[in-house]
Amino acid sequence: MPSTWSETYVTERDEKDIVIRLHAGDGRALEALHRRYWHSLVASASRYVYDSDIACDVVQDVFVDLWERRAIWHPRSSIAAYLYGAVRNRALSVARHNRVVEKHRWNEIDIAPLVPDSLESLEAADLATLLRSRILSLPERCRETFLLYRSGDLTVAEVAQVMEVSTETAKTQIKRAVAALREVVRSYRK
Amino acid sequence: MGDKQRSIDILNQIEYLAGRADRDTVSRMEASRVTEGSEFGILKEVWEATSVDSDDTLPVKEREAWAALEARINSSGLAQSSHSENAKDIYVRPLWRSFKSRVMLYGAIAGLVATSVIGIAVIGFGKTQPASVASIKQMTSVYTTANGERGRIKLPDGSSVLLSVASRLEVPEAFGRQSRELRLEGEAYFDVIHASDAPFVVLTGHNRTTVLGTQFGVRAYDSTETRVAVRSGKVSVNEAVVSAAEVASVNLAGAVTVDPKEDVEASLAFTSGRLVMTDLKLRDVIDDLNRWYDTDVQLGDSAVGNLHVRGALVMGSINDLKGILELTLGIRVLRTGRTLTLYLL
Repeated sequence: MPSTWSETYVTERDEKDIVIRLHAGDGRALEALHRRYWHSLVASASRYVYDSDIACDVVQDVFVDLWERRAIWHPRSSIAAYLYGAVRNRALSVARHNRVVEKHRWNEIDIAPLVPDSLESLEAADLATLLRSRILSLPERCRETFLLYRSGDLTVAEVAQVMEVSTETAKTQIKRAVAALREVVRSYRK
Repeated sequence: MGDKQRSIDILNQIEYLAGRADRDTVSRMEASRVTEGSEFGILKEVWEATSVDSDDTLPVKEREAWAALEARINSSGLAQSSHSENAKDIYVRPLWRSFKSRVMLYGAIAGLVATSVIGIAVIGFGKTQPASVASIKQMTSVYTTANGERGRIKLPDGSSVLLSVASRLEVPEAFGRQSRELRLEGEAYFDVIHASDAPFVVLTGHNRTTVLGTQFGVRAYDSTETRVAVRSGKVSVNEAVVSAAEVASVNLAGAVTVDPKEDVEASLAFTSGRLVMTDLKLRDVIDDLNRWYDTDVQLGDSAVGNLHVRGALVMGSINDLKGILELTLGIRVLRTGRTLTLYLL
């Protein structure tokens, strides 16, 4: 557990240090990245592939790939943005593949919209659960953008980079998601 | 909310919460006292409640994942990992706070759930048993309920039976004369009229639950385990006595144990049309859900099975179940016909 604020952030100097160590073939640098990002990357990948085993594989592939290209590897903005972007791309391609394989199943996707009535009748449910349900019913890209930002590892600009949209668009999506979630809290408090 | 609060962009407020705001924003936030407002309080709740830690739902831990990764890389050369001395663990930011993995299921979800679906049992009759020793013709009445159905049966001796979902009760024609024996597969509640000369016996697998007059429930969906919940009076299971307010389970060998933690009324909740789950893993209630909703519930992601469920459900349609699971567990449920496949968010 970090004891001070400064310990909790990867500074620019740390990032450079990691990249240099990777160039030199230092496995500990890769391990440090793994330790730091593994959980959140797996969580992120699961949102595309809906299976935590596959999500773990996706993340492992990303790390292996990074290791294999370590000598020439230079993250465009930050290490986190690189990792999240790589996980997203790989997970999306796995998901697309699965979608073809399991087409019959995916045809029937319908995410039930949250009925306001049911929200009220669920007053005793915990707020976190209601919020998660609301996140599920957000438009796909809005949900994706918000969850990437909520991972806490990325700045808005980095989220935008991962999502391949402008920073302004990412901002708008995050604000939309937050506005919807605030509504949930308000009606829960009532 | 004062104008000052509004003047600070919501994104700045979020960045402040995320600990990412620059110093200028932090001081503006604090000067404008946004952080004391109730709107900010709501934002803060959103922020805190949406933190995710899939720790307990992941198939492996980070260290195991690392070991696997290391093994994979080593086969193609990670070996030279020079233990550089200045290597300190700099990447130590805490992961997201854990979600409460215990999730409540609320049964009384008005509007979501229809309570009506109690169909009376199909009554099969006249199954002829081969006359073995004597030439007495034995007729057995067979009562069955399908998934999602329950039935109420009045026995010839005046006792009544509530047959729960996906169950089968065989009542021999001789029932009520010299003896009162019947055979159960599944779950039922018995309200037995007292008759000291004719014990009432419920057979499940190789187990015998014997009473004179009392109210109790028997559950034996699986031939390996029978459970007996006694509401009033005393019951003898095989040779062991189970008293009122006790729940006993009988293992494959026929040994009876009373579990003091089990709640009788929870076990008998099916009599009032409720399926009560007292903090079970989702994977352990799937069979019950299938019986109650006539579904085929699949874990699209094995980790979903580890979520805890607690609460009561009433009968309803498959879409009701889908809605409840999504709402209360915050998971994604895909429906294909009668199949529900559960995925993590």
